[in-house]
Amino acid sequence: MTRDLVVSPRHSAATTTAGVVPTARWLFWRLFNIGRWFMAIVAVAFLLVPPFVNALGGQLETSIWEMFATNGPGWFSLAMGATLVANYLTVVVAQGVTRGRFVLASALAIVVFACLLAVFVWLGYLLEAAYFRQFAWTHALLGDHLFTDASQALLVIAEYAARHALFALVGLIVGYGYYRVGGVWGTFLLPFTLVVPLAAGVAILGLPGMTALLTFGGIVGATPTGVGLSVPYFALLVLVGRYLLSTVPIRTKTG
Amino acid sequence: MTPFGVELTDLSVRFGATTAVNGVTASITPGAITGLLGRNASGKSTLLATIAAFRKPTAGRVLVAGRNPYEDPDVTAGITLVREAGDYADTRVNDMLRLAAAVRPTWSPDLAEHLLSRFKLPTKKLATNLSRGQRSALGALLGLASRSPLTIFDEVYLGMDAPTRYVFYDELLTDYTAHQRTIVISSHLIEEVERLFEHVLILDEGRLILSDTAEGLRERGQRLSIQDLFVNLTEDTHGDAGMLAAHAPGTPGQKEWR
Repeated sequence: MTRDLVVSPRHSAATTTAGVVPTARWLFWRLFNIGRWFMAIVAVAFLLVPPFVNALGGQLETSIWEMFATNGPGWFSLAMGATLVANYLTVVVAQGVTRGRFVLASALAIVVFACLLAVFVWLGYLLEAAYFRQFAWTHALLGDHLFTDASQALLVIAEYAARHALFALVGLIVGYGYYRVGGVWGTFLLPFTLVVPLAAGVAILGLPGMTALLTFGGIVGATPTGVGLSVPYFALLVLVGRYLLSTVPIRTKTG
Repeated sequence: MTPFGVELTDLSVRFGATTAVNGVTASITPGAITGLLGRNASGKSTLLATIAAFRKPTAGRVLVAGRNPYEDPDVTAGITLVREAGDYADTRVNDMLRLAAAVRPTWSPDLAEHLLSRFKLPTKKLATNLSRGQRSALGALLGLASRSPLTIFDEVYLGMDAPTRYVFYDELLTDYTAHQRTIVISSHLIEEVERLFEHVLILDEGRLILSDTAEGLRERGQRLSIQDLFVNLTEDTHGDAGMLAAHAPGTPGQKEWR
């Protein structure tokens, strides 16, 4: 079976390119498998609150779902974005997908997952509105939103999808920091990988004006201008993520 | 699909003050099984990771199928590197297979199914919860069923018991005969795998000290096994005794049988 050692390495590399969409689909199901538990736990917990308050003879003055929806799914999305890098970068690259394509696939999976979570948020608003009607409470919202009423499905979903996508894309950058330099230095990098890109994104969502940034962590709203401007900002985050991750050595991943 | 060849030119990889791979110049023959041998910390895994575009070289050049594989999706789609511990997430075995099937252009579902049965792998278990031997077997499965033009097994046998190792060797040889591609096997168990090798590269302290055909090695070794030759050769590089002398022209540190 001996062959001539003098061989040309120049053979056709015309393989079918490992696709972004199949990878995105696979990553989405990973996100969904975790996300469904998050949604289930939140849904069960939330279902109990208004009846519980009502049973105690109390009354809710404003929407508690709004408070949760502004922060909970966003931070969860951020964790999921970081998880994509920490858990799946090595696995996906080991299957012949480039880092650059991994980032594009992750972004695609994130956008779809963000929309799914936004639908969940919308359903929560509908349920809460129904509870409030049943208990004859006023369903008041505190933040500035694209929507004025929970029945405006597309506006509710658009606002929260943008918000979740922002957090998850920032999560990719956070994940990069930890993947690249480990736990300690990854934490030191958080001002650059988390605070700056997230604060900028939240500010953009609230444009014009800086109220959104100033109320960071509270009821942060979104404006039509801000949601529109967030799209190119998302593209920028993907480009930055792609640039950063394309340089990273692939670590051994065993679990 | 055409097997990929590999050409390394003065390749070096350094980690701080440590030089893991030092000026390696070599070719890996397309469509052949090459054994990459070396002692612990000789730079084998780093070299293979660099060929598979898992990391960039510090200096020198890697060409796979005539192209730099780093972030080239057309090339990386045709390279499979299976590492010792396996690169798995907390996903079920089934999900790992789904990913490979989705992104590997040469993936064989029939072979995957066959190997699942041969290796007795549970498909619904989390890959990270498999025993070490099962993880190795899953890596072997992913590597074989990918039928990649360049398939690299880096110490993939670790953790496998002897019967499983021989299943792996048999399946590798059977499928390779039917679907020829370039295969690189890095191993410590030289006696077990040397019958598979058509070419042999030996690394020592990051340097390539030998590159030859297995047949040529056996002829020159006069009935010595590749394992014996390997031991002699790597011992020789740390002392002045031994049966080796000279050096391949233009390749510092590389030795050749006389």
